[in-house]
Amino acid sequence: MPLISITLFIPLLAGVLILGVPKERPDIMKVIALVGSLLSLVGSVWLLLGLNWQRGGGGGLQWQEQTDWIPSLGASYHLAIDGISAPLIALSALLTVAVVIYSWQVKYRVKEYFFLFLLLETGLLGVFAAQDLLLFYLFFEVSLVPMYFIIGVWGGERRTYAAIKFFLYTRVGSLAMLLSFLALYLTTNPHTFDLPTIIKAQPFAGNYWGGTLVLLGLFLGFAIKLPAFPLHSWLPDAHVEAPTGGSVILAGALLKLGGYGFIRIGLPTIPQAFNDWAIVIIIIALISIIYGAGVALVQPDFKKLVAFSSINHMGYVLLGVGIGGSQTASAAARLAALNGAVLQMVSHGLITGALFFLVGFLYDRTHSHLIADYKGLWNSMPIYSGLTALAFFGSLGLPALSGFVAEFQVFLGTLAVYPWAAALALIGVIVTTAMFLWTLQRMFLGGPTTQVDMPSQAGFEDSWDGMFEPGSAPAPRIIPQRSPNLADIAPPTLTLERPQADTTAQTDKNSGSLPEIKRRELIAVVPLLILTVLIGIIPGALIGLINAALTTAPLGPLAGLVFIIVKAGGLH
Amino acid sequence: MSDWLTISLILISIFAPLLVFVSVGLLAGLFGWQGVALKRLAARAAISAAAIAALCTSLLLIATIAGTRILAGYTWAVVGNQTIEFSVRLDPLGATLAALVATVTLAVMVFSLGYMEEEKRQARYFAYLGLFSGAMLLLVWSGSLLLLYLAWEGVGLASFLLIGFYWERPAAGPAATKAFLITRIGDVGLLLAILALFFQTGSFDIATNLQAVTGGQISGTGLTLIALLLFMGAAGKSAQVPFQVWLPDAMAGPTPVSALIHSATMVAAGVYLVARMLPLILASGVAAGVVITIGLVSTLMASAAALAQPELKQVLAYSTISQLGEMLVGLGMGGLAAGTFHLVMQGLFKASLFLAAGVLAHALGTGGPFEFARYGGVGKHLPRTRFGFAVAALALAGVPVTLAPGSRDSILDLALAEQPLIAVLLLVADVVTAAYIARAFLLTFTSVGTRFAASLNRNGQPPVSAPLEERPLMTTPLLALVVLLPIVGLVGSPWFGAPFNSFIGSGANLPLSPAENNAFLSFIFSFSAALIGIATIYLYYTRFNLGQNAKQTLLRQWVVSGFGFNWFYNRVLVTMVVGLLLMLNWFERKFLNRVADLMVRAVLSGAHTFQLFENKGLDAGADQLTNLTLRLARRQNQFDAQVIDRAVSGVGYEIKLSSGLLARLQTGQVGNYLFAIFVWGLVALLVGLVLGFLG
Repeated sequence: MPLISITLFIPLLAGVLILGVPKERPDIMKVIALVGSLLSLVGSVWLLLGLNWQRGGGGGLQWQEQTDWIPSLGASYHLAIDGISAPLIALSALLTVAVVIYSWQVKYRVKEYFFLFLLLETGLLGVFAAQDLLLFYLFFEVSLVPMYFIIGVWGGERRTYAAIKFFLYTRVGSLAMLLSFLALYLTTNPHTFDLPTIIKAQPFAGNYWGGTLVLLGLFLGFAIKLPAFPLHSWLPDAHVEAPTGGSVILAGALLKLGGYGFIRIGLPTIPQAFNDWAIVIIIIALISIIYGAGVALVQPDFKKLVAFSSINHMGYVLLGVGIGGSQTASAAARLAALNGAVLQMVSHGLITGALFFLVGFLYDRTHSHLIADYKGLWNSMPIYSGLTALAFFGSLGLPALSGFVAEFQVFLGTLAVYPWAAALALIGVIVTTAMFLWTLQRMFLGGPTTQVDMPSQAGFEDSWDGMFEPGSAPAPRIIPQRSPNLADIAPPTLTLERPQADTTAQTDKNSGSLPEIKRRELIAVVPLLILTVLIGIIPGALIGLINAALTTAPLGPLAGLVFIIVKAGGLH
Repeated sequence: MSDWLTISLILISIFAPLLVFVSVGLLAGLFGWQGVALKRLAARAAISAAAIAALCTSLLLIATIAGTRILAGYTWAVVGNQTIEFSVRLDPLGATLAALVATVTLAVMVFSLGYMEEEKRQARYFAYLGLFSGAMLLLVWSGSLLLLYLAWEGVGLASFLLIGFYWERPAAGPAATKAFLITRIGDVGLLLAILALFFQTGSFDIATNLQAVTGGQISGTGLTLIALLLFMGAAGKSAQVPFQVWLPDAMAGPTPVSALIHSATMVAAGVYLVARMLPLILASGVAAGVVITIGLVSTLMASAAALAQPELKQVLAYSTISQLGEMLVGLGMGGLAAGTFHLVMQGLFKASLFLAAGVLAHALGTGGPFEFARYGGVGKHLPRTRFGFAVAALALAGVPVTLAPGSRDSILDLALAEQPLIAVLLLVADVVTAAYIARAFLLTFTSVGTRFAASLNRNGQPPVSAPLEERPLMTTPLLALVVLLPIVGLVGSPWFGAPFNSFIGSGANLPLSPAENNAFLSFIFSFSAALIGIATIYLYYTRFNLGQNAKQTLLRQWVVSGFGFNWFYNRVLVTMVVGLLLMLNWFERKFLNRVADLMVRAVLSGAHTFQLFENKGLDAGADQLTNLTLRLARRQNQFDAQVIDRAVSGVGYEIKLSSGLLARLQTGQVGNYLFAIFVWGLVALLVGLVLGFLG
């Protein structure tokens, strides 16, 4: 039974069904969307559980499906998963279900909304399952288009700008990636897009400049998606303007395409180039880690803060990739780093997905993302605050939550090769801690929210010195107002006209307190956090699964990772 | 005791408190329990769990004395061929600390029952206490460095939550943030050290790593670096210079929490880590020197600051920093037993002192600051509290409360043997210690305080005179801890052969502490120091009447502020770092983003050029094709009319080129144009997929 294909195309089928539902029946559309995404989730969990979980057992490609597609081009419809892709597939499916549940309230263009999210899911699952470069590219693009619409139609004030920026960046990246794919295709004899075949052929072995050029193309494609410094500047805008569901999928699943591409395609096809350029990749990763955290710390906008923290977190993925590609390291160290990178993708998807949900819940109530607009949320929304605190601590890498398990493996691998890099990366941990704690302090601690009529003047510059000193914190404001001085260099906006509010604002501005988290919101976010805790406490099985995939063909041998099974001893 | 029983006792003592935290959290958070029912349930469950943990740890301590040792673990994860194991171990050091943690926690929990009676967030409070003690017990039982680190951060998290417990008070949030952030800076060092050890030995197991050190497998600069990084974590947790600033602020939490933080749970972790990893520290002369130096500096500075504090709880806070410093001095000189014994005794008497302060706070109303001026000799109203405080204060001052000498004597003893200069500095600290705690006692509980308060309150509120209440629920745990003081003190007394020393030494992987043959000499020295300190303070406040005229000199302010560290960190370091980050942010916004915008605009203008060409040249054909396709699509799918229209208008009725490029970007017609491209792209891709299959 082609279970991958079924899982993959169920969402698309549901999406097409939704298109046929009469306009006046949004309830039916929602049910179809929910059923479709749930079925897909069931399928993906089935796929995941169907993998070989035996410790030390084979971890190679499983659930293989291969049919001729465009034989003249050497492209086949080849789908297969292993311990790296299956968790990401399950993650994407889970996030889509959560988004569908959360989006029950959407009133504006319901049909297109759900259609696009389901199409997006198909694209994402396709990328993670594709074993053929052309197919990979196709799904890569399919996942790009719906996100453009989601940002551009359901986004915030500057949605057009953000959508175009998002599209152009990722488009440039995907074209560069396509060029590299073509190079791989043309240098493999006989010409083929089949990934395992290319890996086996190693077309660029011993070809320094060829490998470097291919690496450049792949790096552009994947590092933009990741995103890594300095290619990240589409991300904050896209996140801030995207609707909540869009942000969740964007951060939770779409960014993973970058890291996944590196590990699935980059490292095994051109290992030599990754080795040659390892130090550059590592330095870019370190800059992303520190820069992302540092810039996040000073953001006055909650959503932007989470967006920049994503750059920090995905920096650990890139660091893992860099160490994993560096052949000066021992196999064990590289394996630890790559393990960490994969787990970090899963963990970041869960934690940051949850964080974007939580940001969105708050926005639904007040229509403000400004940190300065909130104070003492713990008084009126204790459960919401508790969940946010949990997500914060997960994000800052508290042990017993999934983020730590991933990061510590990356650090472990890094330390074995470049101790200074590990030390620098840990600076990012400190900055992230400061960022989340300070946000927690400003938004959630403090007295009950009171309404103070005060124009929103406080940018970051005049409020930061309250960090350690009680009493000098900025005055509480609950009335959300766009502060004029925060408008970045916003190229003016407003094109796709749309009703003012796609969600009902529920702020009771007179009482000054916000309603507690609702059941639907809980259902969307709690599973993500539960998984975060579970992976944090008992990661053994998942690590084993990822480990098996990394050490078995087609990934293992060429990256030199298979040796560790026979080689015993410490990390040196 | 059989192995499985031992292991289950260890696990029960860890998980019983943690379970309280998890279940209360779930009940309140997900099932919406609240109100009195939850309050009662949480308090009862937490106290039962604490009692169970105390029972388990006592049994385990007895078993350890009887010679039981255990190391049991399971495979947490396998990374490559590297097995990461989590394990618990039973040995004298762990068992002693665990018993201390469980005992103090139980006392504090019972005390809290009275102290927090009116608190509406009682359930949350007890849940957090459960997390706190469970994490600390996990820390001391842990046989694996990674598991220890996990528990270490758990302790930090719990202290963050508890310090920020009164989150609506302005001081709570910053204090909690500060505590977690500053300790986490140290934790980064600890994590690096742990990872580096794993790198060297391929194991997180504590014993394996210590063996690697003693066996010479790790040596040289690497060893020194690892030891220093490890100590960085310990110094952060134990509030040693330069990380000490978080501890005085941690007062923002409820007073019973301070009793826990300052005695057995939070700050004890740092000293415990040093004691646990002592062979590693001692293997590097540099690291041992640093430990001793930091300990001495912290001791001297903090005791001086304690002498100048205007509030009782602040005196106690600085006192903790100072005492922890002395423990580190002891450990740095190789005195495992000396340092550990003082850790245990400090835990008991500091918890007692804080519980006494808690009785005061509760009796006087928790709202105000704990300034001495408000007390004015409340002793006669609170006789039991006064008694408890007095005994604990004597123990702190180094006066032998029974036949046992002060718990610091063994440290002094070592110093006398090793390095007289250290001994002299320690004696100075001892004099100051006796002085500040005598001052605190006099001003709080005696008629000296009444006069002092009256003199200070000439323009302020009158000192307290209303009859005050002592509740048995609160004084009983206090007195129970006080009763333990002489009993435990005897165990470590060199006059009875110091059974504690041989007990701790039996589990340690290093030579016993240097011979302590100067026990009597050190006792004479320290006892004299204590008497000098107490006498000086007594005379200062009674005979010379100086206390009433103390001026707020700059020097005094500097000392009171804890030597300006806060000022330096806030005004200099934070300013610098945030300034740097603001610059980064400026770079992000004004440079990176602008470059990105330019690129976006360049691409868009390219698109416009193409469009111009298309409008003029390919217009008709493309229009026809587009319209046809879209009409088809509309009919078949009932695709929403507006999306299609927009796409059509994008391709078909495009831009009037009269306006400039930028204007076009603003009106968004480019967006429409791109819209059409995307629809086309999507259709083309899907068609390609289908055609590929068909063809």
